Amino acid sequence: MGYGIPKGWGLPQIKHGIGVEHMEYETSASGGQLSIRLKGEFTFADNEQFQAMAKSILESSLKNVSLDFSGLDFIDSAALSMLLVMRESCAKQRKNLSLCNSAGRVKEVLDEMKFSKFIRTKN
Amino acid sequence: MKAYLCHDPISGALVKAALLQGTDGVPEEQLLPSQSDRACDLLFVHQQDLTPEVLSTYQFSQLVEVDQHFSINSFKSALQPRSPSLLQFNVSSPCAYQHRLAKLFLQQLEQQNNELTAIVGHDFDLPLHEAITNATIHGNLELDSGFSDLESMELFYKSVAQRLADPGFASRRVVVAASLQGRHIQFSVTDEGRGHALQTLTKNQQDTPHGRGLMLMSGHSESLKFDDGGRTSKIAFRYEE
Repeated sequence: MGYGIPKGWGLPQIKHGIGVEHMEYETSASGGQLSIRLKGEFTFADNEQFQAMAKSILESSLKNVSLDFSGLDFIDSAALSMLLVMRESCAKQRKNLSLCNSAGRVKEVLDEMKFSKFIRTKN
Repeated sequence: MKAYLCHDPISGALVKAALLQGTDGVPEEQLLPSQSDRACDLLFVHQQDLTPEVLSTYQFSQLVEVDQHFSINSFKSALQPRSPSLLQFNVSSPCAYQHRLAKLFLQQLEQQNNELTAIVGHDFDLPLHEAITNATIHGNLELDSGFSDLESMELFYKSVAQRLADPGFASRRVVVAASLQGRHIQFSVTDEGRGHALQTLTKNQQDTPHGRGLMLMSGHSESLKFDDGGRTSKIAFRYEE
């Protein structure tokens, strides 16, 4: 039969993570506010989606930005760091960033980390 | 039984082969005639064959993911006796980074242990996920995530991608294990990085934007400690049915 080691070389990289529910977002604008609703799980694996989301926020002319967490099921420390980077970027453009509608374990994490000290939070 | 999932050269189907001790010490594999036996002690699976279907089909004490960096020494190391555990995943750094490993591990643990119910819950999932992330990014890839703006954040994640493609870093393994000790369930996560001397969290860390991973690891646990020079984190929870 032969040993399996030589067959291991040259394997393609993992294309799709299993168990991963990548963060998705929907953008809408109304009443002078840019609203972004996040869905799924927000983790370190979502850095590309986050960068795209940040770009759309910073390129928008609207000064008030609200991140709606009602569709988020899970958030990790890497995502919290990304949100703080968003805060800094918004502050440089004098945009007002806020979070709202977190629930379940996402809300528990934000409360445990006292995240409202860093980003305005409404629920 | 030590087994290896491979593709039958005749049918192309994914089948289980037993790993037998060869005469020269190098393991040999022998295709098993029957697919009825889904249980084994140690199961090697190629990276591209690691799917939800495989995880739900087979029962094992230890799963070893084989990627392109896996060597003969990696095989021999995986075959070494380890501390008894309910379940163990031994995976590459790219696998730990790209799959939602904590969730998969907990699902497998619940699936294979009838006496453990409601394992897949936020109390275990987030701390274990943080421990695996730390082991992969800070341990094996030796990267510090102290970015403060979008530009440095982008550079950080580019460094992550570069190191995941560098065999010197990507070949390092992450081992996740669970064991029951009385009414406590303990998860351990081991990396092959340089380790660290951190033992406790300081007040300063609680007020800074970064470094919250350790706080989330310890938040719901009974204890969090580090062994092996910081390469192994052990998180213990009181287990309630």
